[in-house]
This record gives sequence, structure tokens and C-alpha cells, in this order.
Amino acid sequence: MAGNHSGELHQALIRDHFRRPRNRGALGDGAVSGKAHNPFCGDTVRIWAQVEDGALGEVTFDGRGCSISQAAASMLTVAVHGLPAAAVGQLRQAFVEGLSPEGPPLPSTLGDLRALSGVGRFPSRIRCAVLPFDALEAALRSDGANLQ
Amino acid sequence: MDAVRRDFPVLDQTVGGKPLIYLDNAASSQKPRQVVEAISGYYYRDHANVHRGVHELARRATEAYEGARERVARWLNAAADEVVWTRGTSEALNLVAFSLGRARVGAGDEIVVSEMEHHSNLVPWQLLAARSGATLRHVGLSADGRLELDQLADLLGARTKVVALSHVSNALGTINPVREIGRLVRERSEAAFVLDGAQGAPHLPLDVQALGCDAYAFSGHKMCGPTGIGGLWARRELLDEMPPYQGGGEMIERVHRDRSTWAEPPHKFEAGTPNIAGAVGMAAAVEYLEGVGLDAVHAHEAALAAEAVSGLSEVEGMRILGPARIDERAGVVPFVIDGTSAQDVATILDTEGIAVRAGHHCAQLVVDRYGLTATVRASFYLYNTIEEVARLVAGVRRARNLLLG
Repeated sequence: MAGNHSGELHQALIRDHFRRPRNRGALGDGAVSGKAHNPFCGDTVRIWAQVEDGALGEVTFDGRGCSISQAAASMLTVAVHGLPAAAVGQLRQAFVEGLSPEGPPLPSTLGDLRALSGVGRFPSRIRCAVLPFDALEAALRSDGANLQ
Repeated sequence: MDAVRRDFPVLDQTVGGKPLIYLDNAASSQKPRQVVEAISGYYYRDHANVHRGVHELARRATEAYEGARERVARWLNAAADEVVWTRGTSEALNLVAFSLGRARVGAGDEIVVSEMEHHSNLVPWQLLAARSGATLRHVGLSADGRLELDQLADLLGARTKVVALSHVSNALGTINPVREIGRLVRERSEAAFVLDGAQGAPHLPLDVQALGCDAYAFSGHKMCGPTGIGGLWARRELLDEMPPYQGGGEMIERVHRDRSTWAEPPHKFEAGTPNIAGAVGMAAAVEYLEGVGLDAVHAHEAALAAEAVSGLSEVEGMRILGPARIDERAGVVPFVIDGTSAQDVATILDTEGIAVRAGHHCAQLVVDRYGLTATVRASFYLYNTIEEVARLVAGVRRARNLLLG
């Protein structure tokens, strides 16, 4: 049923993260930050991360845009807390593969991001869900640059 | 209207179990059987390359191609040798920016555009300004999406070489007072007045002589024709003055080892084998629309837009962009709802079978002007119905409740 698509897309968890975002706001000195922008809809996400001994400490975000991109950013900040920075690429890959309708199930390491599985039915919206990963990876690249 | 709908087989389908409601016409229109059959008939019976052959099919293809040009010229109220075939409005505007730029625009000159332009009528002029050293000047917009004509009057002067504006805005729905603007341009400058007709040509009765412009660009696919065809109408003096846009076959008169002379307009601007079937389809589209009557098309769309504006205005948090006066608006209704994103609203409408567009609609200056990043845009055409507008309004209400309720 078509009605269920939107129900699925905007299930309670997504709505909750969109309306009550976790870890919203900037981090101060010592944090790295990166930004991602989707020129098609104007959505932006900026992510700040504390990186200590190669692991992600506090991760926060700010941004503007649709429920998918902003909820995904909120979910991502929770999911990657404590994770090795080097594992972010793999997590992103698992997320992107799992969003595809024929893809494997989303692994539990994605946490609340798994609630976005229904987005795969709307190919134009996958970009929204993945946008926060772009911002986090940009932040981590800037960290690498700083270390050199 | 039932008769019109029967001409468009694509409309008779369900999407996710709901009847398709196609309200993305400003992006591209659907095609009637008459157009599809003209194209397939041409391919089944008459196809060959044009102009060069002595054989029967080459003659027929040439007649079809040049006959299509004459048909389109009649619709525009122009001479056939003033109509250049292009891939669409974008290519037509690039052509005129390139060639007219070469002929007339240099360092210190000014090109006037506006904040409501589609990127197709903005970026080619930016490229020309960068190439020539000319300066781009922008006419601003009123709060309700109309050109600030006082500003335009102030911008015009001896330095103004080109004024390039849209006939109808794709992002706001505004029908610009083109005749009045044309008078202003002629009174205050020697500038060539170029109109982007991508959204005007499909929806309004057209007479380029009466509009008072010097060039008019249009696309086939937004007016029941195929993709990949469109054209540029320009006054013959202008086409004579403009150097070629691309080189190749068709556009030459005589080729020497290191130089060539050019064919007469319009062929001077048509290098290479053209989109013959596209031209045939475009002529069929013009024939179809004139058969229905562009006055009737415009009146129908105005009624749908009025209904949509009045219905959507009742939705809480609704902000509709574009002219407050309904007679200044084409069948384009862009809107945002406080606290929601345009993408989310459009996705929910899609699950109801309703096709709208969300984004900046290739007019970033417009969304910037109104402090937005994206809008939802419903755009109507001759086959849409008042019932579909009611379903749109109900769908938008439902989307708002889902997102904010």
C-alpha cells in the first residue's frame, strides 16, 4: 500500500530524531569539523568530532534540511560515538549497501540509522540519508591533514 | 477536457495504487498520440538525411524538416528564415549569448538579467560577461515575485547591449509584462531584448512581433513535443549580424583550405545533421496546441492555478510564492510550509500518486531572494483537472499532518 511508504519513511524514530535532535550544536577547540551540501535540495550538514587516539569521542552536528538528512545526522552522531575513526568508511559502505532494496540487512552497528531502511524505496532520497556521512568523512580528512 | 485527456495515454495509469496526477509540467509536459504518431510515421515512411540528397526519401525528409520550420514560424508569427532549430531553450540561449555576444558585447558594456532567471538564461550571460569583460546587472524582485520595473528603467542606458529576461518564470509563475518592458528597453537603450520563452511558449498565445522582443527561445518538450528539439526566433537583421555558433556540415556556403563562407540564416546556425524527427514532432505539437487553442489552454490553467492558490492558502503555515494577482500568474504554484522541507512534502505526495517537483528549480537566485533553499512546485497543463487540484490540496494537508501533526 502506498500509504505505508510514507509511514515507513517517517516512522516514529525518524520523526523523533528530527524533532528532538541528539548532539546538536558545535564543538569547540580541539574538535575537527566537516560540511556536506546537497545542491539539489539545499540541505546542509556540518559535523564536529573529537578524535582521541584514533577513536571518535563526542560527535555533534548542525544543519538545515529535510527530515531524512537531519534525522540521519542526529542518528549518526550517536552511532559513531566511541568507534575507531578508521571504521567510518566501512560503516558508510554497509549503510549505502543496506539502503538498496535488494541489499543486505543494515548491521546493528548503525544503531538508529537502521530506521532509514525504507528510504531505499525513494532513490532520490538516498542522498539525503548519506549526507551526514559525507560531512563526517570530510571532518576526519581535515583531521588527517592537521596531523601531517 | 475528457477528449484532451484521451490524447495522452501516459495519464491513464496508477502509481502505487493511486491514479497518477502529473503536476510537473513546468519541468516537462506529457505527449499526445498525435505527436508520437507524427514522429513514428516520419521514421516508418520518410527518413533520410536532409538537404544533400537527390533521392525521394531525402526530398521527403527535407520537406518534413523545412515544413516543420514553416509551421513553427506561423505559430510564432515570424518568417521561416528567422527560426533556428536548437536542442531546446538552453541551447537557443547559449547560441544567442555566444553569437550576439561576439557581434555586439565588449569590455565596459552591460548585460541586464533578473533575479528570477532560470540558470539557462543566467549562466550563458555570465560566461559572456567573463569572456568579454562586460558587466552583468540584475533586476530585483518584489515581495510577490514581480520584476522591479523601476530598477530595470534605472539600469538601462547607452552601455546596455543585451536585456535577457524570462517571459514566464518557472520558479514563481510570474507572467512578465513583456510588451511594456520591450517599450522601456527601446526607449532607454539600443539593447537587443532576448526572451526566455521556455515557460511562455507552451502556455500563452504567442506573437513575437507584438511582444516587441528581438529574440525568443523555446523548447519542444515543455509544450507536448519531444525532448531534444526547440528553437530560437530572432529578427533577421540580428541573425545576419551574428557569427556562426558551431561549425560543420549544413552551415557553410563554400569551404576553402583555411577559411569558409557561411550559409544564410537560419542554416548558418545549424551545423551537422539536425534533429529531423524532433522538428517533425515539434510541428505536430504546435498543430495540436493550436487545435485546442492557446487562449483556451491559458484560461484553463489560470482557473486551475486560482483554485490551487485558494485551496493551498487554507493550509496552516502555507507560504505561496509568486504574484498575488492571479491574472499575473501562469499555471505554476510554488510553495513552502513552515517547519517542513520541500523534499519531504514532495516524497509524501509521490506516495499519493501526485508528481510535483521540490528544489530550487534551476533558479537559485529566486530561492535566495526569498530566504529559502527549496520550494514545492505544482505546475499545470491543459490535461489537468479541477479534481486533481482538490487531490493536491488534500495531499498537501496530509503531508503537513504527517510531518508536523
